[in-house]
Amino acid sequence: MRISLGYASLFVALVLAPWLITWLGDPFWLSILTEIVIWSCFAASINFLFGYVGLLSFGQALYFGFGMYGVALGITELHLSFWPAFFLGPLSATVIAFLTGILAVRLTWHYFAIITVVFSLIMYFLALTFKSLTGGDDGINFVLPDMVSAAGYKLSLTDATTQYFFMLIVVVLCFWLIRIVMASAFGRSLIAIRDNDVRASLIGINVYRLRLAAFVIAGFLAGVSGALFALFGRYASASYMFYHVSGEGVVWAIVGGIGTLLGPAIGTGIFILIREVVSSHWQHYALIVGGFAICIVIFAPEGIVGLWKKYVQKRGA
Amino acid sequence: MIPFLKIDNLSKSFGGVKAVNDLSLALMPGRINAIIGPNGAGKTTLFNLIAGFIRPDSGTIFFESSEITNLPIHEISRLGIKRTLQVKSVFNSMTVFENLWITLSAHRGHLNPFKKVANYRLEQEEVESVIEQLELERFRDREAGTLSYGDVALLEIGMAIITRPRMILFDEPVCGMSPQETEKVVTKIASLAKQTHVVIIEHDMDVVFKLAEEITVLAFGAKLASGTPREIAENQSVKEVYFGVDEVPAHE
Repeated sequence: MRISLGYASLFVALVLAPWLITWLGDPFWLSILTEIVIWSCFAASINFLFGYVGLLSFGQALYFGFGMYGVALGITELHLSFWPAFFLGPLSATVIAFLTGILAVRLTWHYFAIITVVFSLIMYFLALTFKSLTGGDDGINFVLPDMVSAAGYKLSLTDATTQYFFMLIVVVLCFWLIRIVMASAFGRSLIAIRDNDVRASLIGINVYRLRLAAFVIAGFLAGVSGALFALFGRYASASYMFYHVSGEGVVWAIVGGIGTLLGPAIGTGIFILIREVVSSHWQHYALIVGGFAICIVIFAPEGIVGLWKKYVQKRGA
Repeated sequence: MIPFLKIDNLSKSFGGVKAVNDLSLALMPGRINAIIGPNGAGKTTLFNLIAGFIRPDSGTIFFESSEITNLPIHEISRLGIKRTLQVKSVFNSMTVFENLWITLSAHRGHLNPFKKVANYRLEQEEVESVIEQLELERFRDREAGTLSYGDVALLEIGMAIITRPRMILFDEPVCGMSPQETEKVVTKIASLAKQTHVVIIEHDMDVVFKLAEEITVLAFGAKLASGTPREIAENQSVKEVYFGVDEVPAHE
């Protein structure tokens, strides 16, 4: 009951946030909250692989990048309208995840981590090479098409509140999807593989195929967050494919609580807030981020959500 | 009688060592088969070959007259061939219930990502009945990683039987167990043998001679002898190579 109460209050807070922020007077924080929502989905992608099937990827930025470029190039090169461009992002990330996954999920542990880094480096350098198309590290800008424009009625992400709710709905749908999938036989099979892959194959699970499926789903989630981020920033850049971005996502997911639904979102929220609050006062804010991450990993290996669950259990007992 | 497991000229080398060397076996139904032999005789390698963990260099394996050589592990498992591992191996973060449920679900190939676990009514009932049968009710919702060694072993047996397998390969089922736990497991295996083909590898000779009705002795990856426990106990070459002359347990 307590956990569903937690869900409910989080949901209410997220829905009321735009008015709360306007009331407090600084609309800047709405864009920060939007950013947190977007990157939560990215951390969820890392968590889906590491937390649910036991594969630690340092290359999820690659699929984030494809999500971004799918949208950006869809608008600038293919002259797509809003919705087709928006779907092109996750679609291209998913396809690339499938193609790279065929090779990557043959490996596990550090070999898997390394090959995901290698893939994202290859794509990063390819993106730099084809600068005329991708804009390289500088990226490409685009003009945002309207979401809906019919009979004098117009809905566009240029309105910050509309943008926030659009992204919130998409990301909540993704989290809801993860929740449904993880409560199914498919999801339980992933957990079985994470726990004990030899045993999983002994009971008849096709470990390779399920790891590939998980990899594709994770690629899709990263693609969704990349597509949202492209719409948010009205641009796409190769720099977001770099493994440094992946690494940040890994830290968010681990600190928030790996293998939990909301952990990645909480980790993302905390770190982006630290960045925004501290970086304007002190340029070495990364030291705080690093110190905090180390403390969590050592003292609460199950992350913040793990700590919370322990606390709730203790109070219940 | 037709053998349920027929192995012909099976060989597997690791480096220069012939772990299984041109081995031919035919195991007959209706009795518990034990495979024994000194360390390094190739027993576990043989199980690994049958279950698909490794592929043979040459030779064939037939189970109930269909060939299973070179099939992947999960396909062999879905044919109804289940094996337990020497080191007890379950899903530690899952509860006893979930362990049994996922075993059944995997065997039946359930993967629908949109159907809740709780909505598989039939499987739920089957899991409950196995829990009852193994007297694991107290541990139903405990994570398997927190169980005692003996209870994990029971759970493992539960996971082997819940799918109603056609053959179970037990790899040292009582290894590391207390006498009471051993007793419990031996009784369980004996009753299992009424429903399915059972093959065990075991070092504990008391257990072997209590359970087995047919014994195959391996040495250096090849078959040294096979026969009833009495025949094996009296076999001169087995005594010399394997037991050491005086250590054959009395068996009546």
